[in-house]
Amino acid sequence: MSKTALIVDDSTTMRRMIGLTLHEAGFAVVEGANGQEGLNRLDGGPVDIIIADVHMPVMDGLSMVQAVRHRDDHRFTPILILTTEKSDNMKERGKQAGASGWIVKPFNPRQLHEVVCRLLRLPCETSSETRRL
Amino acid sequence: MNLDPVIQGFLDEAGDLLSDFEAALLELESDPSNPETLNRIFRCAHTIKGNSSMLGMDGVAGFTHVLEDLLDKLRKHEIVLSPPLMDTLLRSVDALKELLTDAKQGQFMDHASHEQLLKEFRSFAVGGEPVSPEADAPPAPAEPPIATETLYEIYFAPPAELMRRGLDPLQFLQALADKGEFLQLTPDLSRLPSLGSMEVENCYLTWTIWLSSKRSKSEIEGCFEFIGDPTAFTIEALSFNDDVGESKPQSPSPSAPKTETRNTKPEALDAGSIRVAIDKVDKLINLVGELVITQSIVAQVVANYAEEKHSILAEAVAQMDRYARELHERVLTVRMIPIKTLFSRFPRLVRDLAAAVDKPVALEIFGEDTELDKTVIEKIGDPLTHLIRNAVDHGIEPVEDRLAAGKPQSGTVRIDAYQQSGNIHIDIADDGKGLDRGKIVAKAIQNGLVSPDQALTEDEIHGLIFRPGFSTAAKVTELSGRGVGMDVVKRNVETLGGSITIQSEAGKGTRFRIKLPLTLAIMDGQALQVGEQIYILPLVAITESVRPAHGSVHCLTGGAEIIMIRDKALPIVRLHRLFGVVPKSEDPTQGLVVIVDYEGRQAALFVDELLAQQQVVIKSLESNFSKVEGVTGATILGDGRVALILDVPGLVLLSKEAGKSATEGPRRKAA
Repeated sequence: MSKTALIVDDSTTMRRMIGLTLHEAGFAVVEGANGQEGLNRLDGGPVDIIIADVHMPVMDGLSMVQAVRHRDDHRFTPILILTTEKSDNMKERGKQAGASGWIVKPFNPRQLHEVVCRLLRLPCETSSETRRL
Repeated sequence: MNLDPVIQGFLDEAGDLLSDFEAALLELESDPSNPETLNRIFRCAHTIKGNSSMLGMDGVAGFTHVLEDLLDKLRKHEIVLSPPLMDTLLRSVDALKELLTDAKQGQFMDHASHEQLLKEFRSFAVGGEPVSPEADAPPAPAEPPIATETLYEIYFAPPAELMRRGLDPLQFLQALADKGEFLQLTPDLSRLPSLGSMEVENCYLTWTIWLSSKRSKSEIEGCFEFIGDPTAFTIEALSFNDDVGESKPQSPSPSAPKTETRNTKPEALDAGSIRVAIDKVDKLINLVGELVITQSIVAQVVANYAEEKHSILAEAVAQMDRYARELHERVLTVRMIPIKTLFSRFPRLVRDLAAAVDKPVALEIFGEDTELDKTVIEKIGDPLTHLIRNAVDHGIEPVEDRLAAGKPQSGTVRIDAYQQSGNIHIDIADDGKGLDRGKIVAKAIQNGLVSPDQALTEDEIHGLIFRPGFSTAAKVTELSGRGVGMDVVKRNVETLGGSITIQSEAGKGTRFRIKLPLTLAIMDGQALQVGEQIYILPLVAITESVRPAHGSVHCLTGGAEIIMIRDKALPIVRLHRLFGVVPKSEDPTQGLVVIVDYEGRQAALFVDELLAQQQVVIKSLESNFSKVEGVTGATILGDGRVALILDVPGLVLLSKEAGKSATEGPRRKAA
């Protein structure tokens, strides 16, 4: 059965791009435009991994991660946060909030796919061609 | 992976973000230190930067990167928003629009043409810390694989709370296994507490691993990235391989940690809406239009045949009719978007114009939530811009004149949009000096538009400024005089099926009122009968219809016919000749002439008779068949027949050409 990824980002472009990448890799995708929407989506069906932006209106990514960790059904769900900051500060704050990992924007979709597979302990079949984005 | 939809989506989104960016900038002018607005601006640039760099639009990304640094300083109050900085930021909106247009055409790379602007950004940013060079640099090239196997001793002590972050020690061990070969794996159970005090969600085990790998030490370290704790593992190269075994110590990032900001302002704009391709909507509208027509055919048939026992059928059809109509109305509203999307560019326009002519001008906008067909909004932009430009340039007086007239120093331009009886009205009013009728008449006489002895009403005088070849601008300023006159404004409005009127009072101001149809998909039409055929004439074009009196029709040399209506000579256009149908009678006194307005002039269309006025769904001939002169489209009538929708200027032109060929060929006898 295919895994479901929840993508939470206020940018439609980013959601679409991640969505397309994971969709091609065989994932089902659900989306939310901010932390609150992301949380709401968790009630709509099973979610196996969450990918969330940090800067978002209404509810930012770190607050959402904290809230997700307080839910019994998602205490151990892998959560990947998207950040543009390379500083350890953001990673530390993500870690404190309960995020499993982080990926620094801009990233290559293949890189994202690999990380997602690693977090879900899935075999990662990346095609040989390198996709320049 | 086909990225086209992503790129298109990005461009749409970036366009929205830029509008918001611009609007927020203008808000900052009155409230320069509002943290919410500063964050909004920052987030717009930030999102565009992130997305464009992922899509490989290096030009946009590079530009927004520098812009973002500047905005970051602004929101942290490291620099202040000076008027020159505001100007630079506003120009950055234009530059970004250009870059996005380039990107749309597939040119992603270049922002060199905006180097000057970037320099300004940097110089404004001076005073804060210098731009971190590292953040700009492309990702470091992957280290070349090491040719020789290295033996690493790895100690891995996962932090106790690892599993509560959705992680699992096993996935790190797996990642390591992917990098080479485990020669030995020794678990250390010494940290395990007694069963009673064990927390099931904690990690207690640690491991020591001997890994044989060709990868560099930093690559192996990469496996532990998400641990986020450098003390949770150690990696030591056992075999000596000077250069590679000991990778350079990682330098701490020079950029200072940025403060996180939480944004709690909900973006009402996006709430509960979806973006749909316009052609999908158009197909839907078209289909529903067909459905309504088919429905009315069914209704007519049932009405003709239904007797007592069919009353249930008749009732059901009547109900279906209601639903079909409601469906149609609702579907049409899908194309409607708030006029806000258009009005949002005017504050900037007025600000720039006012600065250019050195008059203080305030802009007031009302009714920006009024909804209008998307195509209408796209096409009405230029005419409105022109009217606003005129209002600021010509309407509003210079400060001295205003003070002398006892008016407030600052002029006001007011834009109102509202819906009234099935139409959308857009008013553009200024509180300036009003139209100078004497000057208009003098100019019109000079240009030969009217004769000096002609008596004109107020409205007729105002109407003169819409005539082609008329321009009151005594001097051509930078703002007006761009080769677009009021005649073009009027024509554009009329192409949309609308009309424009003027109210003006000397010393008080001028108001232009544009009336537009709610949608371009349906139109109020007048059905005309010529022979067996039915034609539809747009209702807005008709002034009156008359049965010509005997002797009012005159035939000129060359075959052209005119009709005298209240001492005015109007050319007669014989529809039956243009369309090659046999009329009931060729004698104008046996039929009707419909007086129509076009491009400020009038003509008389000769038809058999007038039928009902009705709303018609416009079908494009161009997209379904091919362009036909004198016809704007077609529609399907309630009984299933097709009727052509007439284009008045095109008809008059056709009629003239027909007249010419008639004089060249055998002379036809006029009735």
